[in-house]
Amino acid sequence: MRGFRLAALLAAAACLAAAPDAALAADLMSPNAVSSSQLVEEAKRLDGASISFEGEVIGEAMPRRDGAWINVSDGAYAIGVWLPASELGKVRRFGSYRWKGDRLRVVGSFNRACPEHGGDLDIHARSVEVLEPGSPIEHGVPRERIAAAALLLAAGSLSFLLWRKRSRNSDESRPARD
Amino acid sequence: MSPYVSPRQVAERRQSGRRAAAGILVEGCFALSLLGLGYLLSLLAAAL
Amino acid sequence: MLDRPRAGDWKIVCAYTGKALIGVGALHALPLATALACAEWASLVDFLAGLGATMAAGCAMALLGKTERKPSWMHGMVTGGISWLAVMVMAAIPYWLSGHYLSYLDAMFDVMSGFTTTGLTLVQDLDHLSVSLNMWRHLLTFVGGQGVIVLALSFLVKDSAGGYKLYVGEGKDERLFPSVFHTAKAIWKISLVYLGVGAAALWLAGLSIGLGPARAFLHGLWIYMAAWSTGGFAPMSQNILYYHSGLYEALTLVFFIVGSFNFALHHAVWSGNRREIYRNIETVSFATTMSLLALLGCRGLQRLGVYPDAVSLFRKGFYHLASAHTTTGYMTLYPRQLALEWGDLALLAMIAAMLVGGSACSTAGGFKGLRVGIIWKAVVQDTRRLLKPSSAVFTQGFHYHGERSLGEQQLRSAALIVIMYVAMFALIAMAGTACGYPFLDAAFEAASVTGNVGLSIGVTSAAMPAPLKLVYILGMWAGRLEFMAVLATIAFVAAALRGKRR
Repeated sequence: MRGFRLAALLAAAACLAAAPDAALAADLMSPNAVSSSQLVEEAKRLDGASISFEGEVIGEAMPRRDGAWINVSDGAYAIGVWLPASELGKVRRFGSYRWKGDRLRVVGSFNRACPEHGGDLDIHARSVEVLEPGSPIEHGVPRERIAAAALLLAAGSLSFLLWRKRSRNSDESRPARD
Repeated sequence: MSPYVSPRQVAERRQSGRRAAAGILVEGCFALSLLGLGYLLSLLAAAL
Repeated sequence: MLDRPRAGDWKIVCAYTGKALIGVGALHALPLATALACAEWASLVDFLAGLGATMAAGCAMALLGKTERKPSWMHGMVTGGISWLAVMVMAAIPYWLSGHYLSYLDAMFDVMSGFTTTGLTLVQDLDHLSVSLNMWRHLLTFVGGQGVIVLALSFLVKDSAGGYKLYVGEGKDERLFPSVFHTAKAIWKISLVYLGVGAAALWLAGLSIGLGPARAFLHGLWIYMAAWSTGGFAPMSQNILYYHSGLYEALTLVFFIVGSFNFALHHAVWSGNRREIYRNIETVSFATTMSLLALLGCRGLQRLGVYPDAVSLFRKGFYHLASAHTTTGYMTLYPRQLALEWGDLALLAMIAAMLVGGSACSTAGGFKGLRVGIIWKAVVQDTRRLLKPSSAVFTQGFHYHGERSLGEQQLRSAALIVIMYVAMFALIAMAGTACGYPFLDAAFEAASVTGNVGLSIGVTSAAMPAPLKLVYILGMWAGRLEFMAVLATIAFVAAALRGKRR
């Protein structure tokens, strides 16, 4: 019984002693969360690092032969993300005039000048997670604006008609051009 | 203008169309040759 | 000094400026149709407002200025200058109403940038822009490349002698045909045929890189319009980097190189004179300076180990140097990367490329190849005179649509314009430095503005001080009109303010 307790105590002590190193090791492997500004400004330092990047996916997916491209924007810059085709299915909504795209978290390795993709600054994603699905963007038209536009259009049409009439009158009185 | 188009006009338009196509081809080739030159220069610079 | 302009002078300028505005008003039809087709109602209202305002202003000016007098050279120049400013003010309405610009000044900046085919932009949230507004941005660039006056001439100006004076006022002086109307129409024909070919090619390329058919078409159309006009606008915030495609980059390279050629060259080659393409002083000059600067730039990049292999060096180094030299402004890098990664030698090559520019009478900016070629020939001539016996008489020749001899007047004009470009470049660089930007960054952006290029090293942004935005606007304007129209406008206005009465 005593031997067992001693062994358990020693095992616990060993685990405690090892714990800080394990945490350190875990840190080294877990990706840094970065912003797009950091990726551009600190590209040399972050080159090759494992990172996680969050933002709205914009435009569209561009499937290629052995993967696909998406571009993810966090407001500052949009960054190109090269995905394995299997991950593409997770992304549904892409940002445009009418839609706010899915908010994604991309985890992968960052390249300042990717040799596989002609020197592009990109992220080779290992995984993509949808944090928040996309939603529609409303573009309402305030009534005052419609009124102002109608007024301006009326002014424009009237002046145009007036100009055409005057031009035609003067054309009739002038000899034909060379 | 009369809607009638004489055979001579048709032939002229065809020739002008062919010349335009040839022109586009020539200019495109010139641009492509500059691209080729650029690629060679990149190879040269990378090797130095 | 100039005599004080009379009412009659103002009338002529007013009338032709009004016609330019009417032309631009008519252009609103395309984004309007696009907004209707895409059910973008808010945008539709914005464009209706812009159309109404521009037409009202244009017709009012055309009516006010109605006169039987023919324009003189002075009127041609001043109209060139003032009409571009008028268009800048009116065409900004749809931009500003869209909410994508932080101020009206920013909206005007983008109009001037589009019309002068520069390509620097202050737009916010480009990735969520409406289809119709993107149509407007790219249309302005395409039409601006032709020239607003050329647009008006094609349809609205009836007097041919006066027409030529307006045409020259806009910085073109090539007469493809004896009639300036024929010349304007020929320029349009060449551009529209190429538009068909180019948009189709980019559409197919877009499909192959994974874009959907509608988007591939729209993007292809827009990218083509901005490439041909050596503008540099693109529908996404990453510019050409969005596509991550060597094929797309190669096509844009071909189109913007061809787009930087002189319209007279296109006309000559299309009329059967195919040899002109390699004998013309401008294409020879361009190929020479392009190769030298590419070598220099790539050497600079390689020394710093910026790119891992030859393909990357080509797709980043050569691409941006060509984009700079043709004054297009397409980028597959983030602007800040130029500042942070490229190093001084490569950046100097870029600045030189931007300043030298493309061909005369084209959509490109900068000193222009013809002037560089002429000045080089003059240097060769003077060197020969120095080294050979003084009794020998030399006439230096050059090939420009036939063999020509180098005259003193030609050399003087070429040299003076180059000096003015260099002076403006220096002033704009000083303005940037005075606003607190590092010198090389300020110089790079100044070269981009002066040459109507559009590459940015990060200085151009909505956060830029307003006076600097104004300086850049004036620089883009003066550079595009090649100074003459701008100087004439300033002289005209100055004379109005204090000239002696006749």
